Amino acid sequence: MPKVSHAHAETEPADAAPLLDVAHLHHSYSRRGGAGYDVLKDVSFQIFPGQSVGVVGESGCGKSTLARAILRLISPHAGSIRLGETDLVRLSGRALRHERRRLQMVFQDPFGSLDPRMTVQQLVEQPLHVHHIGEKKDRRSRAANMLADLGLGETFLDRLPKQLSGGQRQRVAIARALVLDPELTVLDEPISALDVSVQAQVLTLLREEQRKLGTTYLFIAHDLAAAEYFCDTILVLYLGQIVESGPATQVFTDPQHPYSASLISAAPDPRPAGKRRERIVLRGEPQAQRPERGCPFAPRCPVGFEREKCRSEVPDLTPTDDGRRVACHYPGELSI
Amino acid sequence: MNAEQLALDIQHLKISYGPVEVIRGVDIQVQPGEKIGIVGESGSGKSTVALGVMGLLAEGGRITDGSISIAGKPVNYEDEKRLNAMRGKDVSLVFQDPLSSLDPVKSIGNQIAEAIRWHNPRMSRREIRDRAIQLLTAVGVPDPAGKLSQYPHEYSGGMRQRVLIAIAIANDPAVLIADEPTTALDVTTQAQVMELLDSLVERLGIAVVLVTHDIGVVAEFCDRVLVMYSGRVVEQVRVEDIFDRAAHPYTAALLDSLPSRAAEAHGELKWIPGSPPPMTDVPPGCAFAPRCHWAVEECSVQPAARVIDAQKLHTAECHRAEEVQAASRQAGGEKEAAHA
Amino acid sequence: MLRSMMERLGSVIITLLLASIVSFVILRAVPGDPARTVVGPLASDDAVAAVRQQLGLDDPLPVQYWNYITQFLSGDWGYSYSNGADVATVIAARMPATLELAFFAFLIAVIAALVIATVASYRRGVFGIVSKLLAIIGLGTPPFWLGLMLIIVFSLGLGLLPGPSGRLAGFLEPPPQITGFYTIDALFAGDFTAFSDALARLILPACALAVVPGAFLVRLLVANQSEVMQAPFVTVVRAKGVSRWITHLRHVVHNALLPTIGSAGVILATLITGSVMVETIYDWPGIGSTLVNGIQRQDFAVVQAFILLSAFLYVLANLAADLLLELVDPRLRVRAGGVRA
Repeated sequence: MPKVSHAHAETEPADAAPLLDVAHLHHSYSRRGGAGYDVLKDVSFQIFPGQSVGVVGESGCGKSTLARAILRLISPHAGSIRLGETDLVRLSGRALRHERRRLQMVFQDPFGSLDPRMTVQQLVEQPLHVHHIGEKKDRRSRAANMLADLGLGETFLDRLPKQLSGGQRQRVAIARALVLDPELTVLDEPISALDVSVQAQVLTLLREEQRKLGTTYLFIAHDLAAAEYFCDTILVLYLGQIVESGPATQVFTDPQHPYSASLISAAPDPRPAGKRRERIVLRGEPQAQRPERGCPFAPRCPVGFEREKCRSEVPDLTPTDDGRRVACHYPGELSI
Repeated sequence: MNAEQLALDIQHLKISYGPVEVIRGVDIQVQPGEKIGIVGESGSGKSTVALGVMGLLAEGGRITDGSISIAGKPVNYEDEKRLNAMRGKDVSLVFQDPLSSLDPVKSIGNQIAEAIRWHNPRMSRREIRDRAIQLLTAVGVPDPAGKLSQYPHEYSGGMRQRVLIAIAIANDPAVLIADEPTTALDVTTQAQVMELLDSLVERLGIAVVLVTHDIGVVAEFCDRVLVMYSGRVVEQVRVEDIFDRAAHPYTAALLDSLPSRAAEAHGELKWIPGSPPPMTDVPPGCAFAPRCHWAVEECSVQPAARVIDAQKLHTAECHRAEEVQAASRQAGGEKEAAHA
Repeated sequence: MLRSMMERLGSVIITLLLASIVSFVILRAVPGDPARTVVGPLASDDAVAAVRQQLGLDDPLPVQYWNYITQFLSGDWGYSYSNGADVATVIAARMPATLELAFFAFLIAVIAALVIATVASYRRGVFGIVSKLLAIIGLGTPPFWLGLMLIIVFSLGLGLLPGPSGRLAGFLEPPPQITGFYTIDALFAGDFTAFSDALARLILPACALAVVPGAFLVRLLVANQSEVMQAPFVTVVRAKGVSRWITHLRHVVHNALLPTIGSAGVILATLITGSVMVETIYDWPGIGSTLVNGIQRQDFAVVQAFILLSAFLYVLANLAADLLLELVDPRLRVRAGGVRA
């Protein structure tokens, strides 16, 4: 099988094979009587086993579409998504259903994703049942163990979703995903609907389970602070394209792309006034149209707004010396 | 502090839904032009206080005790006519979700005009239109005259929230209550909206009560923070003191659960074990005591009211406030060391 | 815009085609022989067979259907097996009476439902419960029973309104036909005696007919209004200082009305089925009572025409509702110059 070769400087161990290899992924929504709208444009990245990769960006940047494409809830129009040796884009029907076991998802709203008539025990057993894993007794104990790991002991097994708090429900949703021992778990804003103190608990439990099970996370994040805390690698998406990617500590402390810098600086900073980041306020709106030519971010960019090069040439996503990829003609010019 | 001068004065407020008391004696004083933040988790009662001040509690809710004065005038919540005259004029409201906060079938111009006309019945159509355009300009909506005839679905989320702010400042209120105004927005839009709100209230001298779960927003926007837990304000503190002088264990625990602070200190996140008590069954004494590792015997008997500083700007309901505060200082220092 | 119009037209044609096929097959499946009706009970079996052949009743069903539908489309709706009258002529003559009755019933239903539902959801409490109860009872009340009750109380008992004897008193001349509605035509002609008599005779059957669609609308409107009342924008409007009643009228009712338009087809269906019974009770010379006669006499052509006409009106009502919604709901309105600025 030919390997897709592109620069991946954020590679963890140089010799390890990636668990997920997304290459030149493209997806567009057609608009009635108009041209198609690209939600994902030439997105390429790799995830290595045991990593946590965070995807950040404003609403409409394509992060949810990316998650749904990887889970094959939608069929991307071009590109490949390789999970190990299998290209998920080419799969369909039974073969796809079989592979789904290796991929799990935790949604933002735990209430909507749990059948209100099933008990906690049944909810966590169900995915095992669906994928014909183990005997009935075996399934029971696996489910109970998983729940216990997530701090939901025996007293919770017979409860219904409505008898649980938001954080407990989300833990049930996580148990449902992790009980299948997936290779990749997509976490789509898993803590956005939870209270602050509960968010901390859910993040910590997710991390503990990762250490224990060795699962890999793709974390679609609304909360930048949570992404910074939780992830090893960050992908910054703008209008369906990766504008910057690299190790989380580097991206967050010293972003190279002006969009990453603005995004990070805009996040509310719960620190005393003296230590706070200076806020960069962007012009325009997140759902802004992609310009016909030039850098997609140029119309809102504090750096390239008036620069001819930015207005006329699309910057490539190029590797930097410190092992990142940045799509900017003037990287690092805007710092936080 | 002179009571006449306060923009908002809430004394010993109690609110019940049916038989359940959800606000259990809350005191809040806001100076004119001051920006205070009320933080707390869902169920702490922070939104109920906001709606209670507006006199817009959901069905079954009523104020059972205490008093509220707005711009020095005591409010009679039984007098619906006076309330209508007060709402939108002396005190106004900005809500969380900008899409569902606007009537989808009325034009933006119509909805802004409604706020103006109601309190200025003698204004002509022309004057109202001019004022609406002026308001949209003030909140930074481009091409305001053309945008008046558009409908909410034609606006983006950030623009809708600007419209709501325009409606809220239409009659120069003394107090603006903002209930999670930016929660539904992207961080970049949130930054734009908060910046706008900040400059507007500064210019117009409006006092703001910002209700939010986001301590980061409070830290950047507010002068003072009130932390609510189970229907009571457990600590109020100036914003510059919250990070290393938190005197209530709940405040300290909330701060410890923030990922941004943990990431900075390369530490682990801490969370608060258990969950808040149901409002039907709040324990006697301090409601936080069952979850508090500082708790001593007397905590479950009665809460303590402690004044921390000389100006009475820092108060905490904790028997061990001084010790907690000392620990916060130490932790703050450690974080500083870890960061450096 | 053009594409969505074409799509709709396509679905209209398919709906009508299916309705015609289903009704055609079901009518032929019921026991009984229309040829016997034509020749009468005393005729010989040979005569019956001859008529069967002449009517084409021996042809295979698809052939019969094809013949019928092509003739129907060319305006030949067949003739009544029982009295030989041309079906198209009969329906054309009786249509205005039904339309007038249905129109007034519709008017009563909409106005009453709006008032009841609005007050009920505004006041809630006891009034809300009572109105909901009334709606449930109303939905379950058979129009013919109610029609009888109204006659007994208001006509026989109190003597306030005329009894069930058609659209106009026997001694009055119908006004010259302009719209086909006696009330309106009488006003055009300046004949106030005819107008008041026609109106008086309309009231009871229109009320009887209005109850089911009215109850349906009350339930729908109450449900919609209580949903809208939960919306945050209602609180925002109240926070502007607008009183509860004005907020309710201006915002809640407006928002609750829009989804109601979509149920125009259902309302029409209740009016059609109701009119069949109400017209019979009130001796109303409309197509509803014609249908009852047609069914009793196994008049295929009459029944078939009625069904097709009803189906046509039904899809027409739905189409009109769609267009109206696009007109009055800003979210569905297509703006010149793009979707979003």
